[in-house]
Amino acid sequence: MIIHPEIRITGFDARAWWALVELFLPAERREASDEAGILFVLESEDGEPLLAHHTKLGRLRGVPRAASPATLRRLYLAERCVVLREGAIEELEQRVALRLSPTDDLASQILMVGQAAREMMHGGLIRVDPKLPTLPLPGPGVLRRTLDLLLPIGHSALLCAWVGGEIDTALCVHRGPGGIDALLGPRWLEAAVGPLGGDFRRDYRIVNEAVADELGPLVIAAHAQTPTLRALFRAPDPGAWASSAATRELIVRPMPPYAIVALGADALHSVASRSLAWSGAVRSRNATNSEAVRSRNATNSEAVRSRNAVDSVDAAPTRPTPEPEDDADSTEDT
Amino acid sequence: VIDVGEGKRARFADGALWLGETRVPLRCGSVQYFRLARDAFRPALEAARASGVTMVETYVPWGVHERAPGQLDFGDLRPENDLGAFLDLAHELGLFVFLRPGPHINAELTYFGLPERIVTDEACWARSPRDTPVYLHVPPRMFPVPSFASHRFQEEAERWLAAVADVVRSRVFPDGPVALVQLDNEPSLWFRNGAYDQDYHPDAQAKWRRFLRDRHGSLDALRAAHGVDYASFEHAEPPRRFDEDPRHLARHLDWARFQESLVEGALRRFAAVLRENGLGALPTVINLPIGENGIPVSLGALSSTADLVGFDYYHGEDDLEIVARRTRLLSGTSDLPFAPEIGVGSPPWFFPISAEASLETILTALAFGLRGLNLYMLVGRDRWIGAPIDEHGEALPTLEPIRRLMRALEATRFESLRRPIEAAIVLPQEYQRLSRVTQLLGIFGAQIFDVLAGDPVFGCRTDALGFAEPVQLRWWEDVVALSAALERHGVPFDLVSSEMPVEHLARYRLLFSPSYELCAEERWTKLRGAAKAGSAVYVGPLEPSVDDRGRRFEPARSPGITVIPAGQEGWADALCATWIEAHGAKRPYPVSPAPMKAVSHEDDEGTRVLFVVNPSSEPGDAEVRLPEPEAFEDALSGERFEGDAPLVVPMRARACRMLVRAIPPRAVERRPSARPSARAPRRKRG
Repeated sequence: MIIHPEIRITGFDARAWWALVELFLPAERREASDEAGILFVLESEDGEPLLAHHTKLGRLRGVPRAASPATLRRLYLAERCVVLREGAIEELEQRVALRLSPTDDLASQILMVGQAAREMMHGGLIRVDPKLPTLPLPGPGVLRRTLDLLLPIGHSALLCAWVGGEIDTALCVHRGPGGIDALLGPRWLEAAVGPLGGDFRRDYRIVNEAVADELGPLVIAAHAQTPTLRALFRAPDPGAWASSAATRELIVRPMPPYAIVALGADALHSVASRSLAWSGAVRSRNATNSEAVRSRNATNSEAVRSRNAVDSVDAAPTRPTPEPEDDADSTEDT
Repeated sequence: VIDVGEGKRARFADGALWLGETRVPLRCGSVQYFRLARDAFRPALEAARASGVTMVETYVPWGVHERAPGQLDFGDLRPENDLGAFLDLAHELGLFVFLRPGPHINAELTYFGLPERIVTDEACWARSPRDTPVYLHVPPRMFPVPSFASHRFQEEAERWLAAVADVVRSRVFPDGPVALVQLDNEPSLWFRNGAYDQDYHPDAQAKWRRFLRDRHGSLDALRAAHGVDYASFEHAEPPRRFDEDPRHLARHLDWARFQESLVEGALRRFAAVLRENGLGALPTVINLPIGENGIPVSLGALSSTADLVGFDYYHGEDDLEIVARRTRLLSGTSDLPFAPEIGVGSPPWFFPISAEASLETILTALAFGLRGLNLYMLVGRDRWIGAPIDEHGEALPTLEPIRRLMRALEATRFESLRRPIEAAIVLPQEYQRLSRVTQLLGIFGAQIFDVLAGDPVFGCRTDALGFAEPVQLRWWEDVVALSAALERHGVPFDLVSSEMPVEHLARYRLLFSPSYELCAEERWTKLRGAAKAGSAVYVGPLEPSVDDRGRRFEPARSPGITVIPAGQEGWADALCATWIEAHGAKRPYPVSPAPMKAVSHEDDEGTRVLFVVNPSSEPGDAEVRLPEPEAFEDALSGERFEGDAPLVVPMRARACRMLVRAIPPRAVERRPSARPSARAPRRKRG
């Protein structure tokens, strides 16, 4: 079991819940007005459009018959086009109903729905353009083993976002024998912890101890200021996590082996990226320079040739040929 | 006065519940005992009482109390299951109780509060057209929904309700605090409301055939209506998908009507069980979920099933127009418009509803006619985000505005005020059925689009089905167009289901109902009745020519019925002009700019409360034209507004103000409008 059927979710007020959700939102939520919109088309078995809706343009009439999703997407300037065959949703429901059991774990149930939806796409009952990435869907066993690694039974994990010396929002997760059985928020945490000193770099220990006492041994706990966490979760630069951990902007204590590996990998990623960027820049510079030199030489030769030709016609005195400069920009001058 | 039937010691009058001679305004808050520690019962109830509510509400969850088949725990094993102790404590603290024993309760409980043995019992399952179970895709476990027709489910549910009655019977008013009881919860087909989503359970199919026999009487009549040459009633298969052959339309409309009867029948049975088990003295409540225009229920039929039909409200800050529209329909349905759940916070798997959005929703619903409410959740609990009192009974900062609002409602006796309404739009139930059966998106049916976009006809087919125009789309466009025009012209109005009794329709002086070729004979009869009773009835654009059984229909006209060219350019403004000029429709408190709204609530002395609503995403000043010098005070902020020129009321975006008339109007000197200052000293009078 991944999710316990009687999972507790408590200790949040609306603000803290939203603050938690916001940590994980994508970096730049584009304004709706900037989006190209999504086009949904429902078509009959013979390709007749029965219903078409564009999220920016509203209901559409006169949609061409039997057009491919790519054509429709281009035609209506949509970011994505989803074409459903009439009855596809009902078919999806049938496939799901035949496989689901009410006693299955929620994660397994979601995987089954995802699997059925993928079959529908393969069968052409649901067509999407651009195509969705075909990531492999893990089985319940893989999910469980991954969870065993990340959060063993009887253990807890904590993410705590601070503003100054106060807890802004938090998420404590506990896994019992029946799966993840508690998601607890900052109000629960504050009650468990009691008064704090006002410096999160010291207070995190007290918080961790309280969680361990109340819930179970912590396998991982991450503490940082809310803006730091928000920046880290929103498409961080390579090495951002490792760098934040090194400067104690991010405190990960306890740090399980997988977190050490992840932070190490992040650091290596950063080093590699910078090395590549540096060597790439050098190569690119060299290449540019060589190209510039070749280009300049060629240009100069051409110029010389043509000038000589002119000179020979005009019999004018020749001017000295300028020396090539070691600067790519100088090609423009030549 | 709402008659709650013989033998009931309660009655509804003046917007309140009357228990004997005691007036109990329906200001209620949810406290779920089974999710509190036993020693938190008292602090939670005390905090609820201190917030200003008169009543607390709780579900009684079957799946929590049942330990094994036939074995129920009401506190012997888990102290927090002690329903009796909770009720006794509420009684001791002077709180009344609104009890909701299900059988379905949701409450974000696993399996919606049903025992696992029920959701795994195939005999209880609703069936899809292909005889598979019908899953509800909700966390923390997707589960197959029960069939309202299943005999097994009904028997099990009846045993459960009888067991609850054993605990509650001795605690019903006047011997105890229990004053209201709800039948089931958010009745529909368990949110799987696509017309061909369910219910093809064998017991439902048997009911379908009985339904056809009752409705059509003879096999010949059935054959003629459905356009199918059935060998007998037993051969009348339910439709499993829509077919666009106009000759079969009545069959599909019958199917939609049958689904309504399935829900209504289950609720009637639940009510009977409570009655048979000693709870007959309690007034009954039905709460409809959001998206009520897309679910298989008839407001008229439900109104005769329970004493109060209410709507649940869960809306974000962008939804104030939808809140206004829904409350207009509720106001057109019930003499005591009641919200059995109005979201204060939200479940974790719903979109987050902030404390501000909750408050604006409550205020806007009150503005458009809400008279009673249940703050769901007043006291926090597991799987709920944003309750203003925590599960230990500690008041959180978000409680303060609610407390002020409760005080203002009490001070103004708000529930007894009247909202002057002369006009109504009659929503044809047969068109709603047509829109349901022509939905193209399966489980994403009319309810979903009504919730998401306020448009229950969004996913409908666009073909005309043998009519001049696609009626399944046009009728709603007419309703939207006239609603917008009435708003522009400042004419207050309600929305009324065509299933409500004729006396109900006849309360409105001015009525409009969309009318195309198709018309249920009952609707036309009611419109004629309203016209005879003195209402000016407008229909259009077409006179009906066929009824919903597929028979030719030549409607008898009454002098009070006028056919207008609805749908044509400018028709709605023209009708408004007619209502204002020819019929003298009143336009109290005109307000500008659009889309600002002003709604007044009166007692015998005149206006007592004025709401100003700004549903737009831009802040601005509302200019309200006062009929005479008046002064108002914002019930929540304390700001004061007075004057006789247009009253300028600064409005935040997506906000509603409740302005209470502060002093008798004649005492205000005629002076230009004044901008308010928060907590500013009052101006001297005279």
